Formats: sequence, structure tokens, C-alpha cells
Amino acid sequence: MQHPTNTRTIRVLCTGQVDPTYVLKALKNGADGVLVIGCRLGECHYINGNYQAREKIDMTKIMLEKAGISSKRVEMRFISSAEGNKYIEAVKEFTDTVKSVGPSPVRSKEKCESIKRILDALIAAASEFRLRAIVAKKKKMIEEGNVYNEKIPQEEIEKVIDNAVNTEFVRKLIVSCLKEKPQSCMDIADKIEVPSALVLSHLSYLRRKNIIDVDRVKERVPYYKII
Amino acid sequence: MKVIRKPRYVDPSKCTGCGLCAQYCPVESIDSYNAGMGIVPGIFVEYQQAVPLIYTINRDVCIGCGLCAQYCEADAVDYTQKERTDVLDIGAVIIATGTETYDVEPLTEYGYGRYRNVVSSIEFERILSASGPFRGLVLRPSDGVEPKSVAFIQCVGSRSLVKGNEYCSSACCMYAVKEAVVAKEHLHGLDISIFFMDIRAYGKDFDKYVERAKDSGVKFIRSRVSNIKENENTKDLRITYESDDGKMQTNTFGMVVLSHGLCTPPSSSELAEKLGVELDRFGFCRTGEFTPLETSQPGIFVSGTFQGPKDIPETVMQSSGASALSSELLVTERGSLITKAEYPPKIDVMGIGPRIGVFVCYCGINIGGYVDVPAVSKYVESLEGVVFVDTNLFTCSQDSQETIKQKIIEHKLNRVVVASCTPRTHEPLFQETCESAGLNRYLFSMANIRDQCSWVHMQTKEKATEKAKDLVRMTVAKARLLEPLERLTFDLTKRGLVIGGGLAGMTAALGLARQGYETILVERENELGGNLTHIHYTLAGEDVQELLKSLRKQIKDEPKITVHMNSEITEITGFIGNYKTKIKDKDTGKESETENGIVIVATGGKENKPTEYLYGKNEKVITQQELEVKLALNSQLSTPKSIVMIQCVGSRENEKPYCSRYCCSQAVKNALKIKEKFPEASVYVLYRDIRTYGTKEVYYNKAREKGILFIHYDEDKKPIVTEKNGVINVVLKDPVLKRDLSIDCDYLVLSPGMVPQEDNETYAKMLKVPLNQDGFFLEAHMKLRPVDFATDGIYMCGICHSPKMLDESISQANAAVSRACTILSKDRIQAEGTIAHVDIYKCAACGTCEAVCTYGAVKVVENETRTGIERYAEVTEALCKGCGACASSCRMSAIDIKGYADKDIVAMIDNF
Amino acid sequence: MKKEDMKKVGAIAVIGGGVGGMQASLDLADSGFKVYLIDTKPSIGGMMSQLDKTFPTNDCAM
Repeated sequence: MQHPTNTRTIRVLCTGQVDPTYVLKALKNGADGVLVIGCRLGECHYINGNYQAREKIDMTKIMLEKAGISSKRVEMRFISSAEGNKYIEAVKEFTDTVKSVGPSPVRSKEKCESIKRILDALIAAASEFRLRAIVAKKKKMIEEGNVYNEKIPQEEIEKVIDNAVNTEFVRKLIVSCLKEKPQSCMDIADKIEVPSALVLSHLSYLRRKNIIDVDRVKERVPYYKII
Repeated sequence: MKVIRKPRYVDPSKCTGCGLCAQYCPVESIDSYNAGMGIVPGIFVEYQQAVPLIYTINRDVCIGCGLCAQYCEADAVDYTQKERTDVLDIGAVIIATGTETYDVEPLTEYGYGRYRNVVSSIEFERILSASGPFRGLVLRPSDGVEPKSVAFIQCVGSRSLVKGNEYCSSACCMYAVKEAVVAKEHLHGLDISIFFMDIRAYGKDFDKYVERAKDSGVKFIRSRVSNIKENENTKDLRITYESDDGKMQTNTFGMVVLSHGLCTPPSSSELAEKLGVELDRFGFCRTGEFTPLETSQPGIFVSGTFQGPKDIPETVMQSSGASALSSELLVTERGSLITKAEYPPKIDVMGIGPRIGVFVCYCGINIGGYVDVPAVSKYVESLEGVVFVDTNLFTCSQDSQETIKQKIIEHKLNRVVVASCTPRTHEPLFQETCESAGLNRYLFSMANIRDQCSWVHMQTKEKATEKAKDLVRMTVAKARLLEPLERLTFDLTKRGLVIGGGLAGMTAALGLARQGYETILVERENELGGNLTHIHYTLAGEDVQELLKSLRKQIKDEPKITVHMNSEITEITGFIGNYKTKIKDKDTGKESETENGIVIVATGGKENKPTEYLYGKNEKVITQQELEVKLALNSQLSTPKSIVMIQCVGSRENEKPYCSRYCCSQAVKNALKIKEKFPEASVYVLYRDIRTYGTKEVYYNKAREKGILFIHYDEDKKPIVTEKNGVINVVLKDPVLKRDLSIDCDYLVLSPGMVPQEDNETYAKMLKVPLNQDGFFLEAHMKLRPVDFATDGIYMCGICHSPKMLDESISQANAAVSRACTILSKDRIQAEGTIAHVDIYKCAACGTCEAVCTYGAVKVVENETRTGIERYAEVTEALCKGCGACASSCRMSAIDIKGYADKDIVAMIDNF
Repeated sequence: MKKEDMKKVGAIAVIGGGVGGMQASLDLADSGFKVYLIDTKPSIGGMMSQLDKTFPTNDCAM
């Protein structure tokens, strides 16, 4: 039962407990990859925890892609406790995959700061209630139907999640930028590499939600600050 | 009629509009209310002041996750709602579906959709709004920077035979000027240019507004824009245009606003088909020139922009007018389907000390999020006279009204205080609730702890809470002193008076009569008709003299109308519901008296007599009106070779700064008539702006097609007219050809515009109503009350309001009828309870109150009392509005406003 | 709707809840008729509610 030495294991009772923010925090702390291993689908000791986990990890992967981080760094596998071989195979395979992606950008000097800020934004986004809620209800809505007793096609719900991830992520990035100091729309756009028109629309949203406010308008340029 | 009720998925009787659901909704969609420039959740209200303030689920984006129901505290979300069809029993229909803005995206030369800083005018409107996407900052969508310069391009999708619609959209010139003025108010030093073909400021006081814009630095560039290009780095926009002198020029701007026109949406034609209503070729509802509010289907009426492009006041007039016509149809059924609210007997509160109940509102998180509501409520318990305190999530919700009612009865409350939002919107609701529990509506008072505390002190919650306590304490102090008041009601005379027997006056009189009310029609001349007597045909070719004949006959045949010809009114006294009028026959000098409930002023106007361009010196120089008569009576015009028309003669300058609105169309109409009768004749129209607004534009195009030459001149470069050997010569500097244009003509026709009748001033004084600077009657509100005077019971229609076209006079006359019926249909008129009261024993009869009262509601009178003949001030309750100007001017403190008496106000001052 | 042979009904349907439809409805209700105000949107106000201000007084359009 030999397997690579570069793995560290964190025990949870059920993968259902694996919060996307755990995965993101691990990556922020320099992990090259995170492998989530749960029971085989249909064999969850807690009825459907692994299904729940799968949705959460799917969302986490979407988040990483949005942030320009390879989603290959996060993987979920379903292996029963009696399948030691499979476990080792999976770990090896995953290690290889991560190796091919390369070392975590968190450990590179020049990228460290920016990638940590991005991961912080992702963590904040993953903590958003509406994202959690929709992921939690995804499976039921696809398989059993929603409140209108309609089964929602998987693509449709994934599109909604994709959109929501995208908006939340950019908003959190903007907020993290503004936490440093008051900045203009163009400053933020440059820093987070998002088109200024899009930043502007998010700034408007954040103002409406009383999260940020205009600090001052100087030479026709408004500067925003966190409230 | 079958109406499909779309499900809201929210129970309107339960939803309180708190917005908690929207906070948790996981989906977002484009905000169509903000013209696509914002985002809204899947469960939404369009805007915070929406009526009804009930959330609705947008099923197009909702994925049915169920979170909104989970979080709704009122249990209002109901996913089981289904589309349902209601069958309505109705007697008439009014279509007022309006228009939508023209889609500018296909007009690629303007770059809309490709260049972020090119926005549509409705988008710019939202950008300017404090509730808009940028929360009141005026920013460029590309980079969020305030623009240094903004260009407006007019007639985008309008007035074009190639791209867009042929007609003029009527509203764009003025909204562009307004947006320019407002933008300049927002951004000091903002450079604004408006690229236009003609500025169509044809409405009442519109030109004054344009002049104001020019004075504030808005540039107007007469031009045709050929294209717009974006600078990729700066995102500025370069406009290439052909200027007035025919040269191509370019100019760079930070932002470009496209003034897109109005057009009918596909849904209108679907509706029209369902209702069997005919449309014209532009998709507007087909109406007749003399029946502007009637569709092709009897019983179905139309108003607003679905009838043709127009501005807000015209829409309001037409809507009131359509209301009159539809109710006229159903006059026998008036009152048959309405229910009257019934109230329990009044609780007697006299001689019992105050037992005050206070209800403090959380307003969801609106107040509760910033003011410590439990602390306020606890504090209030300690106040003198307070016997009951309660808090509500929403005091205004339906179930809270029930609670308040119960508590009034249970705790024998005799004063009620609500600490919530503004009395302006909610006081009547709570007053109704009090009344439904048997408590006089004036035993109620409100403290505004939302607008004045939670909304404006969000950052300092403790201070907001302290202030809320103060406001409630002050209100309770006042409530202790409140006394029940009676609202006076009085009888009214169900008879109308119409002053003026022109088109508007005749239409109004007929309308009132058909609504079942006797009507007195007073005309200064010997015959009915007014200006109609000079008009023979319309732009579309309708016979106006036939209309006149028919109206005269209808009036003659209408037993409810009494006509006083060759008469004038010498005195009008009284007030709404009870006017007394003296009418003098100018021939016999005999005076008769009549009593009326309402007055409609339709005194009209007349064509101005020019003093320039040899008018009156040469018989070949005539006015448009004189030309029309000559054209109509065939023999009077010898075959002309050349006719020159000059527009805006004595109009839109110095003494008469206003535009008379109809003259451009009249010139086009007469020019076309000349071409019809004398195809060989050359016709020249010298104009400053051609203002053939709306679908009248079609006739302007037709005139140009027929070879009629339209030549622009500037106000400071007027044509020069001379006469030599009986030939009239007109010289004009032509900006395009850059040389003097000299035309010899057989007839010179002047458009001198319309002036108000001289007796307007007399009537204004008699009725105590205002005139504007130009001598036309001034309405209560330029946009929303274009038929009403500020004084209740008096209305206006026709040219005495401002110059207008025939169809517009007809609409406004019908509107006046509708407004009048809101009074005449009542059995009694109710006055407000909060009015002035004079203590005659204190009154010194000095007359100061009489001098300060704007409404003429208080007068010093002489009366016999027990102590002999006494002079004192007396309030005419029906006229008093309770403004209090008299009370604060009285040197003897003899006047108080009931419900807002000196002691009440002082109690509040003493308690803060 | 058929001709006069039907009994008249003292109710009127106003289609469109913009400034025009609202004015017509208020007038009718104020003069003794039942009004059904019908709009495709969830709230009334129409295009005017989108306007920031109106000239000449720059009054709030709300």
C-alpha cells in the first residue's frame, strides 16, 4: 500500500461536510492540489452526503476556472473503504495530474500576492449564501423537480451557477481591492483585469447594497470606498 | 372581455413589499426598468415606489429553488398560482397602451451596441436619475468617469424615409433639451451639443425652456450626422456631420446620446386585432381628425401615444377625454357598480382624558435595521396619556389595520399615533382604519421615523433611535390635545357653465349635456364657431365647415344646453359646486343670473395681425387665415405664378416668444392646396424650424415631393420684403447656397401665429385664476394637470390654454368634461376638516388675513350679532385649504387651523 | 361587445397603466364608474416612471 509522500490527509466524517472554502483555503495555504474522496455514489453512510459534496466540488472547480487557476488542482473521487488499491491509484493519478499542471502559484514569489487575493475573493464568494443555497438544491431540482414541480435541466442550473459564481467572484475581488484603499473604476479594472464597463456595473450594484460608497470625485473620476 | 391574469407567484394580500425575498434570490437578470443597465433578482419590484408594492417572480429567470418562500415572513410566496382568465363585464374600453422607444441598434452608423459610450436617451434618463444604475452620478458606461462633453443626436429612427419611421416622434426634442439641462445641473461645466434638423419646441412654454437651455450654454447645431467613430484608447466618440452651410465637420465627445423616437410595439397590433380596432400604416390606432379619441370600434376609445406620438400633457388630456366619452356612453349606469364604504357609529370622546395607542413600525428592515424599535416602544410606554403600545413588522399591512381596529376597541383608545413613514402617503390609510373602528379620523397623528430617522441616519443607529424617541414624544404630546373634527359637506348645483362657443366650448357643452348635466354656454359673438368659422379644410382634407354646421345643429337640438349669444359674463362669485354667474346680453344690456357647479373656460384665441412685411399696406400681403378663405372660395385668387410664405412672423421673438404650434402645419396645408389648384405655381416657405410634429410630418414630406421649396432663415437674418411697381420682392440670405436669394411673388403669405383673447384678463380676475406671461390661462400643473386650474371646479380647454390643432382642442374639451364630471357626479362635496377657524371675539377685523389668503377663503364681513353690528373675518370653509397663512399673520391670534392649532404645534415645540 | 340590445354595464376596462391609463382610471372612478385597470407589467407607471425629471419645473416624475 505504498503511495506518494506528498499527500496530507484531513479526516471528515462525510464528504458532505467538505465546504468549498476548505478546499480553497488549502490551495491558498500552498497546496498544489486537493483531492476529495468520498464513498461510492449510492453508498453514502449519511444517505447522500457524497452527492452534495460532488455539487460543491463542481462549483469549486468552476470557481477556479473563473479565477484563472487550473481546475485540475481539485478532484473528487468515490471509493469505498474496502478499495485500498483504488485509493492508491487515485492518489497516484491525482499527483501526476497536479505535477503536470505545475507547482502552486501561491509558492511563486511574483504571483503569490495576487493569487492569494484571488483565492480570498473565491473564499468570500463561496461563503455567499445564494451560491450555497443553489448548490444545495441543485440535485433535487434536477431529479425531483423545483417548487413548480418542473425538473430543471442540468445545463440550465449549471448556467445559473456559472453566472452567480462569476458575479460573486468579481464583486469580492472589487471589495478586496477597495479594502486596501479608495480607488476608481479604472484602477480596479487594471488591477483585477476585468473590463472597466463590467467593474462599473458591479460597483453600482455594491453601492446599492450599501457595501461601498463614493469616497470622493476628483477631476471627474469617482473613487469608491468600503462602508 | 376576457383578461388573462398572469401569476405573480406572490399573494398580493400578504406581500408587504419588504424585499427580504429579493435579498436571498440566487438568480439575477437584466434590469429592464433601468434600461438594461443594472441587475435585478428573479423576484423583484421594478422600483421602490412601485404601485402596487408587491413582489413578482420573473418566471423567465426563476429556477424554482424555493428560497424566497423560505425567507418570506409574511408567507406570501405562492408557487401554485396559475395563469387564470377573468371574464369582465364591461361597458366600454379605453386603450392606453402607449408606445415603446425605437430600437436603435440596427442603425449601425451611430455605433450603438458597439461603442459603450453611445447610449439611448432612455438610458441617459436612467443615468441621470438618483435611483438609476449609477445612483445619481453621471458616468460614462465604458470607464465610470464623468464625461467632459455630451452630444445629443436628434431624430434617431424618426423623420426618416430610409431608416426608421417617417413620422416625427414629437417628444424627443424636448426630452433631449431637458436631459441636457439636468445633466448640466449635475456636472458643472459639462459641454453639451444637440445635433438637430429642426427644434420642435411646439408646445406651451416649450420655446422658453429651449431659450433657458441656450442661456445655460447648451449648443444647438443644425446639421445632419453622418457617422460616429470611437477612439479605441480614450473611448471618446468622433461625430462627423454636415453643418448648416453644407460643409463636413467633425467634433469629439465623451458620450453620445441617441434621441430615439417612439414606435408601437408588436403587442399593440395583437391587441388591436383582438379588439377589432383598425391601425394606421405606422401601427398607431386609426382615429378621425374630428374624433381623435374614438377607434374604429364603437365603445372602444384610445388615448396617449398609441393614438400617435405625443408628450405627457397631451396624453393626460386625451386620457381624461377618453374617460368622458366612455362614461358618456354608459351615463345611465353611473354609480351602479361602485360600493360605498360604511362606517360604524362614532365613539364619543368628549370629556374623557386621552387614552393614546401608539403603533411603532419596523417597516421590515427599513426602520428596524437602523432604529431600535423595541427601545422606542418601551420608551413610549412611559409617556403621559399612552395606555397601549404595539410594534408591527409593517403597520401599513392589511392585517395590521385589523390589529389597530381591535386594539382601539379593546383598550378604548381615543387617540392613535403611528410611528412609521410619511403621512403624505399613509395618513389616509390609518385615518380610514380609525374611522372603521368608530374613531374620528382627526384623532390620529403620525411620526415619521423612517424618512427622518432610519433612512437619513443609517450610520449612527443610536442617534437615530434617540431621534425617533423624540419624534414620537412630540407627536404624542400633540395627540393628547387632538379633538374630533367634522368634515363639512355641502350641496352642489349640477349645472355647468362653459365660457366661449368655439370648437372647444361647443364640444365641452355637448359633452356635459350628454353626461346628463344642464349647461349654460356663453358666446361673445353673434354666432357659435369661433376660429372654426375661418377654417375650411384640414391637412388630411376633412371639411371643417361641415363639422361646424353639425356642431351648431347638435347644440341647437340639445335641450340641456342654453346658449347665450352676443353675451358676456359680468360677475362670477362662489366656489366649487356653487358658482353664481351674471350674464349680460350685449345688445339689450339685460342681465340674467345662473347657478353652476363648475366652470369650463374656453375663451379661445385669434390670429395675430402682423405689422411687418408690408401687411396692411399691400393687398397682396395676406395672412394664412386670409389665404385659406381665398383658397376655399375659389373665385378670390387669380392664378398665381409664385407665392412666398413666411413663418414665425412676430412669433418666437421679443413680445411673443412662444410658438403657435399650428402655423407650420397650416402653411403646409395651404401650400399643398395651392399646388392642387395651381400646379404650375411656385411655392416657397421661409421658416425657422418646421414643426410638423407627429404624423403631420408626412404632409411636410408630401409638400417637398410636390416641389414646394422650404428655405430656412435665422431669427437675426430675416427676409427683406420690398415692393416695386406692384411686384413684391423677397430677399433672403441662403446659408446653403451662400448667396442672396431673390424671389418675386404674386402673394406674400404671413404666418403670424395666435394671440389670446383680450377678455382672458377679465375672466382671470373674475375667476381668480392665473394667466401665463403670454396671456394664456395657466394650468395647475404643466404635465399632469393640463386641464385643471389650481382652484377646484374650474377647467380650461382649447386655445385659451395655448394654441393648438383642432383634434387637440376636441380632446382637451372632452377632458374638461371628464374633470367636471368628477365634481358634478357627486351628491355632496366634502371639504377637509383641517381648515381655518376664526374666534370672532378676538378678531379685530384688520383684514390682514384677507390680504394673505391666496384662495380668497377668508373675508372681513359685517354682521348683526347680539352685541350689535360687528365686523370680523369669516372663513368660507369650502375654499379654505388649511395652509395657515392667515393664522400666522393674525395679530390677535384669532385664527387657528383645526387639527394644527397653535396649542398643538406649541405642544410639539415644547416637547422636543 | 355587441350593439345596444345588450344591457349597459357601468364598468370600463382601461388597458395600459401608464400616465394615460392612470388618469383615465382616476377620472372614471371619481365620476361613479367601476374601472378595471389592466397592464402587462407587475406595477403601474409605464414609461413615465422611468423618467428622472420632467420639464419645465424639473419635477420628479414619480
